[in-house]
Amino acid sequence: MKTRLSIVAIALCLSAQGVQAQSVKDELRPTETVAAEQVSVKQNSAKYGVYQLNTELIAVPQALADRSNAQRDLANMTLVNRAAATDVDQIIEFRRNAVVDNLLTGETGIVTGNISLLSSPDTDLQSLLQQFNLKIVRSAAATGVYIVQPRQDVELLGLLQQIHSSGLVKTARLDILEKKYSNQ
Amino acid sequence: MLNANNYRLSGIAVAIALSVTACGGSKNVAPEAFDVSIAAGKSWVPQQGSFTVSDANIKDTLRISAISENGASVTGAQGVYSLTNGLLTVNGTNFSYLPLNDSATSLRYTVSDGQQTASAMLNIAAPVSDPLAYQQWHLRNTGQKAYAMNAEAIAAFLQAELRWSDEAISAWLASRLDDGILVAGEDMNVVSAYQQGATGTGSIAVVVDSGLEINHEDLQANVLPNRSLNMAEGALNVTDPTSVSLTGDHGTSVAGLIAAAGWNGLGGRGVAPDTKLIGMNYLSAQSDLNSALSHGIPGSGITEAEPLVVFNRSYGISYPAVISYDPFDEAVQAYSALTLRQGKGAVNIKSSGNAFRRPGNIAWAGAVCGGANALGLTCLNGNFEPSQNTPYYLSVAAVNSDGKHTSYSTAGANVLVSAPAGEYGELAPAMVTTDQMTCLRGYSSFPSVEADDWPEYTAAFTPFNYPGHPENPSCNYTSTFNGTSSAAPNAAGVVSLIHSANPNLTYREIKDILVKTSTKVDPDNAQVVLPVGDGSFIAHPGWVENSAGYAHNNLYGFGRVNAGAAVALAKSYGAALAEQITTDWVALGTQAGDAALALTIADNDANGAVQTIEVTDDVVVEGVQFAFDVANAELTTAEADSQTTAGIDLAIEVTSPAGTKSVLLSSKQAIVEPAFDFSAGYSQGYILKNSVFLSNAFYGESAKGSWTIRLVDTNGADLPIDSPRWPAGYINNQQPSVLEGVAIRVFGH
Repeated sequence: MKTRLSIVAIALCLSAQGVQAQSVKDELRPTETVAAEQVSVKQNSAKYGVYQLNTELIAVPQALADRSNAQRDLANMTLVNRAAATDVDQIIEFRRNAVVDNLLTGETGIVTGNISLLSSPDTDLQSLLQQFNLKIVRSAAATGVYIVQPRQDVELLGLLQQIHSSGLVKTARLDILEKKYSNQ
Repeated sequence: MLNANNYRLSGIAVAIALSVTACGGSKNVAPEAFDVSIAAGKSWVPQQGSFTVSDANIKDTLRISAISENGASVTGAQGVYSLTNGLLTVNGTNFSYLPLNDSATSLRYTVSDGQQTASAMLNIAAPVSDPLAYQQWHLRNTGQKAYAMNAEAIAAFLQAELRWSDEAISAWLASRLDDGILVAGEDMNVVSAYQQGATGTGSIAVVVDSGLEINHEDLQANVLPNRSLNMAEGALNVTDPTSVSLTGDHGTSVAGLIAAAGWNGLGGRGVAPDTKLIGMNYLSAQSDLNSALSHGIPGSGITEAEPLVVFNRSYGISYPAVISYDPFDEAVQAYSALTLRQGKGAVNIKSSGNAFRRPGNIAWAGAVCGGANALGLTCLNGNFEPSQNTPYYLSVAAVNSDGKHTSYSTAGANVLVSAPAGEYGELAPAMVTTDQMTCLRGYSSFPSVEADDWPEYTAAFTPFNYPGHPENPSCNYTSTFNGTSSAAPNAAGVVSLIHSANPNLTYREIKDILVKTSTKVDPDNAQVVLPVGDGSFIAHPGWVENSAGYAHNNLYGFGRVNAGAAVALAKSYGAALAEQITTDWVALGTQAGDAALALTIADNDANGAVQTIEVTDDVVVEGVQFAFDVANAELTTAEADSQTTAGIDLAIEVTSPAGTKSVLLSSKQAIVEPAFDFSAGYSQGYILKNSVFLSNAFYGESAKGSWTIRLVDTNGADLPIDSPRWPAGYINNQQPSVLEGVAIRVFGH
């Protein structure tokens, strides 16, 4: 991804202002120059779709967060700066509570550790679960929807690739907690 | 039905009335009439009663021969008398009174036996009501301003704050304030639904949104206890999704439009004031897991047995590129539509978007909407967002208090119906609905005034939202809620009314009722025709009547929802719709996994590229999906000073076997990045890649036969517009775009 895209994409906003935006006020208000917010994104960190790992932050439950080290909250999670001593291999991987930047929306997200599966019609789901050491978090079996989770903390992109390759699912993707939708 | 408690008649009068009938002989005796008093009923809900009359000549036929109010005779039409505060319908010596205003009514009635008459008073107490309902034009449009359009205050503001001259102020107000937008009768005909006894009883609606203030004074009575979900992980009270926002909670305002409690003397009234509510703050904790829960999967607390008929989803994505289809999301949607309500299914109402004039709040793409704006075309298309082109979400567009398109409502062939929402509550009416309680939080609150940083503006343009307004003393309500965010819950309220009138309807039958009963608004809505090379392309066809007799418009769908007509059809709905059929995808080229079609779409040529595709299933259409792979190698996210017009120039028109045309993509629309999928990233070099467009325009037609798809590049020139991202603007594509694959899938019966 080119640098320009990353920066301008981050500057965009899919916020909820549209519904309460006022049509006349901006027209009447004296013009002010507002600097676009820019957030640095590590260019060499791992990517998944439009998501890029943010290697500087990690998500922890609010109740456990070191507030002096907190950057921002997302749902009831707090994004805190990683400790310098964090295992380097771990911070460049997609694992549960890893922090990602959505390069389209500019929003920060959290890798929940869940994988969203749409099963193939004749899939033996138990076989899938055993083969990849997964457990079901929630499901709507009637339409083939499964939210699953690895029983152990693993690197998720590799697991996802294995699941895809198995042919047992129609689709599989990481479940990321993020502000993707806004009021409209 | 006469309510004995509401019908008070003097005991003496009754005795007289019953005794005089024995008198007589051959001499005609004058009839007698007695004063009647009716206790308070409900605003907009009819009350039944009888005139207390008698005649000693028992063979005389009595009739009400005259009605007068305040000393003036009122002329009736077919027994209906329009009074100051309501409608009186006379049938023999019985009557029905529909209170439309919140005042008591006193009238004199005259009874005649054909020769002689007698008169007495009918006194009807002021109805129990909701103090703000009289401003809720979406429910009953009397031409009210809904606290907007305060010319004097605005003029004073312009003079005091901006130092404008009187001439400038007059000119500005004349150009911006137009009473023509206030058109009585342009509403959802909700009163008619109430007249038929449908007020939402027995229905449950789920507000999937930012939150829901479950203890709001005008919502609490309808909120199902301990059924809402706070989806934020680790939330202290998981059944309380009350937002902690200081400047407004979107979901609380949405909930009020659906089901603010009625006839409680507080606030306004929901469309379905007796419908029960569940709130889920999905937007505060968006994940696939929470999305699935918000569709009622096991673990959400929603059971398949309960009468949960509608989910309202006033949210979405506005982005200047086309997002690829998402089978996982379709399957999640399918669960709520196919499984809940013991298989009858829940309706998912989806806001179509607010991107008619701009691509969301994405500043770097803003200028690209100029071409669409100038022509009256939509900038983004509702079909760009994949959740809106599945068989299971019903997209709702927004209309104004004159019945016409709002300035912002995203158009598209996916739009099913429209509903009122209004403008911004400043120069034209918006919605009056619930807001976070107290002046310490909400759209009407001190924090909002402070956040806007121009209190004088708020006071002048939106005085109802300014703390201290006499009709909003505790700031529990707002007058500026708008967007398709408002249209969706208004439609969701109508769905609740339909269900309360006939709880046996499936989600498809409710959709069928919406299609068949919605009101054709803006009937003269004009075509937009683009000159293309030596020919032309109809980018917006206006209203198109299909061969089954249904008229569709990409701005309005099948029209504005009509609660009265919908409830009437629900009550009389005949044979159930046949079981749903969803065909397999009929695919060509890359969509079939084969080699690309390599069909060239010549630049600036109205002939375009034409591909036919055959459907062999004999299905009555409820919706048709089209999938496309359209390539142009120039459309990438590579760093450059300019971007190609290839995406902006692309138009797609589909013709059904019956000859009905539907425009899926009008061109001039903001497609300025390649198609993408959140999990797979960009499809570099593709305008469309596994991109699906839903058209509702063929509803009721037979799908069997040959479908013709025409793709046109409508432009041969550069667009030298100012863009911070592409300073050299948009350069006309140097190579033609190419159709590589196409597919069609029909759902119907």
